[in-house]
Amino acid sequence: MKKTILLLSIFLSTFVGFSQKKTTTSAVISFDASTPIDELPKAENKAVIAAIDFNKGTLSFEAGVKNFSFSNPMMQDHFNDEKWMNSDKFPKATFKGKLINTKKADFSKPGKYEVEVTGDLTIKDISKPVKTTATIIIDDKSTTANAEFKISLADYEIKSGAIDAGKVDKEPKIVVSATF
Amino acid sequence: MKKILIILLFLFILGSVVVWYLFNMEFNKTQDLKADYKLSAIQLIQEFDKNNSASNKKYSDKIVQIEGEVNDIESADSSINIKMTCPDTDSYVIFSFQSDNMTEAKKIKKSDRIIIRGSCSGGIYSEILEANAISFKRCVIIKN
Repeated sequence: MKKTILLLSIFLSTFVGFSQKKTTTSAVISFDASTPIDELPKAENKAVIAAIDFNKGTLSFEAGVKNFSFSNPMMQDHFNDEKWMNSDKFPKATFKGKLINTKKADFSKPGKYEVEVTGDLTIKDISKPVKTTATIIIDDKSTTANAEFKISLADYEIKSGAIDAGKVDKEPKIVVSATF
Repeated sequence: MKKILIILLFLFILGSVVVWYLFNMEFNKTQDLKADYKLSAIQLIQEFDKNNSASNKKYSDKIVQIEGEVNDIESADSSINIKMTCPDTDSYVIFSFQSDNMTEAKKIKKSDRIIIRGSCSGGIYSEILEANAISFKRCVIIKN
């Protein structure tokens, strides 16, 4: 009887652990708009909020725009000012996505799974679709999701002479890494 | 003619120096900066919970010194974040570090009472967590 209860509780705790929405407040998003003539426009935010829910098949992020850290103070000021991210008015960038084509993946078991992610990336209250492949690594201790994609600055009404002059990449690379 | 050329050359050199300066500028070390505000983590969280917008205006881009108990230490790639959370609302303050201050930060343990200074990035209301998330960058441990 004791054994049955023990087994049942182990089973339930595993199930509950798996079914729960996993969150982190230390996901990392890096933004790289550097070009051969200017290597400065790149930044990293190490305190991004992220959530993954395998039952619902959802993946989402919330990033404070002002928390993107640049090596150069002038670049950081430009990034936050009205012409660019206008972070005083739009302090948050979000991604709400779905994991698709997950039939081959068994997220209850440790392993490395490639899944497609589609969703909306919202910057300055403008939402644009994003589609990319994410790598999900599950081990005994944690679940990690990594993804990489490009965005178009024009999609988010970001225009500047620096972009036209080739100092800032029109399509910066975004790299996302979240360990839950 | 000669005068014009000298003026143009002078302007070119001046322009180059200004551009060189701007592109090689670095942030001042946080430990050398005077804090604009000094308060406890709980006080800061309560201010954001009460009025997010006014608190953002007050604290964003300011150097703020926070005193509080470490509730969590989270890995963020190869670095760590230190977190202080309000037990009543789940709102939190999270501190990130540059590589030159990481060694000191990694000595901090959960439940330590510390004083930490950093550049406040303001707070966002998280729909995921249903709480305010106040973040700091370029932090330095002042007292452990």
